[in-house]
Amino acid sequence: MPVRARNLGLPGAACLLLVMATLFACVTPVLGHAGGDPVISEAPAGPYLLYVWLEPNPPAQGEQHVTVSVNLSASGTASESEPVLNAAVTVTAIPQPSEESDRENLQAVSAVATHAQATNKLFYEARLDLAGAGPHLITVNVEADAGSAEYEFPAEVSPKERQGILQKFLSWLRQLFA
Amino acid sequence: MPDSVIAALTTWEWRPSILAVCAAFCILYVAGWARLRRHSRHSQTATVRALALYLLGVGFLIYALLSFLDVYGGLLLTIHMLQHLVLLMVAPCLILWANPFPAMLWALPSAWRGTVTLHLQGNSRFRRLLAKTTPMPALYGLYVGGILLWHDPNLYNQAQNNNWIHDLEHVTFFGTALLFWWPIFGASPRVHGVVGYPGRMAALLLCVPPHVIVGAWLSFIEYPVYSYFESVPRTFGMSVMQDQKLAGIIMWIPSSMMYLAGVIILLAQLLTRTSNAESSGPHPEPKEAL
Repeated sequence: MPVRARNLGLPGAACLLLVMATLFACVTPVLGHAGGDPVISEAPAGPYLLYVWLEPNPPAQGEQHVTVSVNLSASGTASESEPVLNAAVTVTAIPQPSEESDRENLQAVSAVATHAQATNKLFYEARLDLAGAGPHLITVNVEADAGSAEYEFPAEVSPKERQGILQKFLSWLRQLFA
Repeated sequence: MPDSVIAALTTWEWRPSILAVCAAFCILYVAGWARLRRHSRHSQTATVRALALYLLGVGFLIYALLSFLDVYGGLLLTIHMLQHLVLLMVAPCLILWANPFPAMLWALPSAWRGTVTLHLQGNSRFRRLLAKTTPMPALYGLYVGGILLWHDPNLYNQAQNNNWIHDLEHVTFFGTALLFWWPIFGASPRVHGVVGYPGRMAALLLCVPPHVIVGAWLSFIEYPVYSYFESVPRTFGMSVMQDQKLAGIIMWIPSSMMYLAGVIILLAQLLTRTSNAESSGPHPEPKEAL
């Protein structure tokens, strides 16, 4: 038997409206949440140890979140390292196309990684807008009291998939519960 | 205050899905509570204390799932253990202590309320089925079994690396905890009748050995049990082994103490009732409400 709104009663209807309103109103912040999959762990970069997470992983055309943890260890070992909280971190994605002609069309994109954008306030997060697919070089540049350092690693960026309406809805729904 | 502590306290994970579900259950409870209170000013269920307990319980649930306890639980086993304590003991106990079922029933339209009541009263088939499928030993088995299962190293590592499995872990922890603590608190619906104090105390006492065994194992073992924590950045000056030992101690001692505290509270209640019964003489047994 279909349930009519008036049979739900005021509390039930209010409940339902609140749930739906919250879900619909909060889509953008949910889609902005990152964290992601760990891709680099305990990578030495100058005096620091870097950890990097990517969301989505593997990286894809469009909005890409890169989360970085910068740790410093007096002894050089990861087990005794502590997070560096006052570093200036910049993340750059440099396309590495095979064709020379493509190099003119694709440009490097760069973004500053900040605590404010990261879920875990010990980390830094940057949001890159990757215009093209294919091989890229991701560079993490760190400047802090202990000095400057740079670390780079390759990443294969997938082309943006064309999604049907149903797939878009399912992706949106999945993001809500991620 | 150290910057890392400030960073921890300001870390919140924005998950509208969790907030929406918790908000819905809060609205349902508060609406029913208000309606029940209007219906009967002397209701033993719709009290200010019950309202406070329920909202506090849901508040702790939200804190466990959205605050730094969840985010930092991915970096430190100690923090993850504290999160589990809240999901398994603090939040469910507060919620069930409020005995929320009657209030939630009153939030429903009268027709729905009548249907639910009909299926849970007297000798109804559903009530008998519910009582048969949720005996105390089965609820204990689900509760302790779930705790032991999710501390298996392979499963634990998978939960840390996969959000879906991690959410399943939390849902099973909270769900089995609600089931286990349900007869302990004597919360509605009381399909099992009144579970005797000896049975409740025995169930709590039997929770202690598994926690002691797993906690001591984590504290004394000489290598990292959960390889996941070897791949994440270190924080608060703790190495992987220091973190593991502290987490083991938390599971071993404070967890066990909470169960023993429950036994002491139940024992005190039993002694009080016995004393009151002796002083007041024979008294007819009160009819059990839903």
